[in-house]
Amino acid sequence: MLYITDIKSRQSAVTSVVAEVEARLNATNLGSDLVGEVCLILAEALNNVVKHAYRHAQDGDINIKVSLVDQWVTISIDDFGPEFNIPTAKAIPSPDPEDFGSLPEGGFGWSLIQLLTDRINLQRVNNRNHLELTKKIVCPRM
Amino acid sequence: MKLKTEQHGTITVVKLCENRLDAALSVRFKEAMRDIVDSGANDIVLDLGDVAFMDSSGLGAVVAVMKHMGREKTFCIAALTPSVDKVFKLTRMDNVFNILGSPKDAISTDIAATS
Repeated sequence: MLYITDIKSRQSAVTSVVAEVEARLNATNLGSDLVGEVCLILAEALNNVVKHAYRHAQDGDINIKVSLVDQWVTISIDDFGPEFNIPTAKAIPSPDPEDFGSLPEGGFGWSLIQLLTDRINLQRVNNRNHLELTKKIVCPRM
Repeated sequence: MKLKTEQHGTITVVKLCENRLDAALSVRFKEAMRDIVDSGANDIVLDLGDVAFMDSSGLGAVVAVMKHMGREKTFCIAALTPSVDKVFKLTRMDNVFNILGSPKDAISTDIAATS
C-alpha cells in the first residue's frame, strides 16, 4: 500500500492528499510523466466527490487508498454521498477558437479520468460509493 | 496566492508564483487575474513556469481569464511545464491558446515590431 488516508470534503484537503501521493510516487521509479498522470486522475476524482457527491459541504467523509502493486496503480475512493453513475465515455470535442464565448470552462473531469485510466469500477456498497481507478504502469527502461 | 506582474512596454507579464493551480486555488486565481485585466492590462502574458501541477479546475480558470479579456485584447500563456502542457493537449485546449516557450518570446517580438 502506498498511501491510506481519510479526509473531509474540502478542496484544501484534496490539495494535501495529491501532494502527499505525488511525493510518495516520486520516491519510486515511476518517472515524472506517470506520476503527473496518476496525480491528475486522483485530483479529478476527488474534485468530483467534493463538488458532486457532497455539493461543496465541508464535512463529508472520503476514504482514500492508493496502491502500487506489480505493474498497476490503483486509486480507491469511498464517499457517502448519493448514488451516481459514471458519464458515458465520449471524446473531448475540438474547441472552436472562433467561437470564443462558448469555450468550456469545466466538465473535463471524467473525460480526463477516462483518457488516463485503464479500468474504472464503481460500486454502490450499502450507503457508500466505492470507486476504483486502475492504471497500468509501463516503467521507463532503466 | 502570489502573482508577480512586470510591465514591458505594452505587455504585462503575470507570473503565477505557485506550484499548483488546482480547484483549491482556481477561484482566487480567476478573480486576481480579472482585477489585473480590469485595471487596464490589454496585452497579458501569463507565465506558468512555476506551476508543476494543474487540474481541470485550473484549466477552466485560465479559459475564463481568456474569455474575460475578449477578442480585442491579447492573451498568451508561456513556459508550460510538461504536466501542465499535457492537460492543455488532452482537453484540446492547446488549439485555442497562444502558447509561448518563454515570456521573453512575446517581449522580444513586441520590441521588434515597434522599433
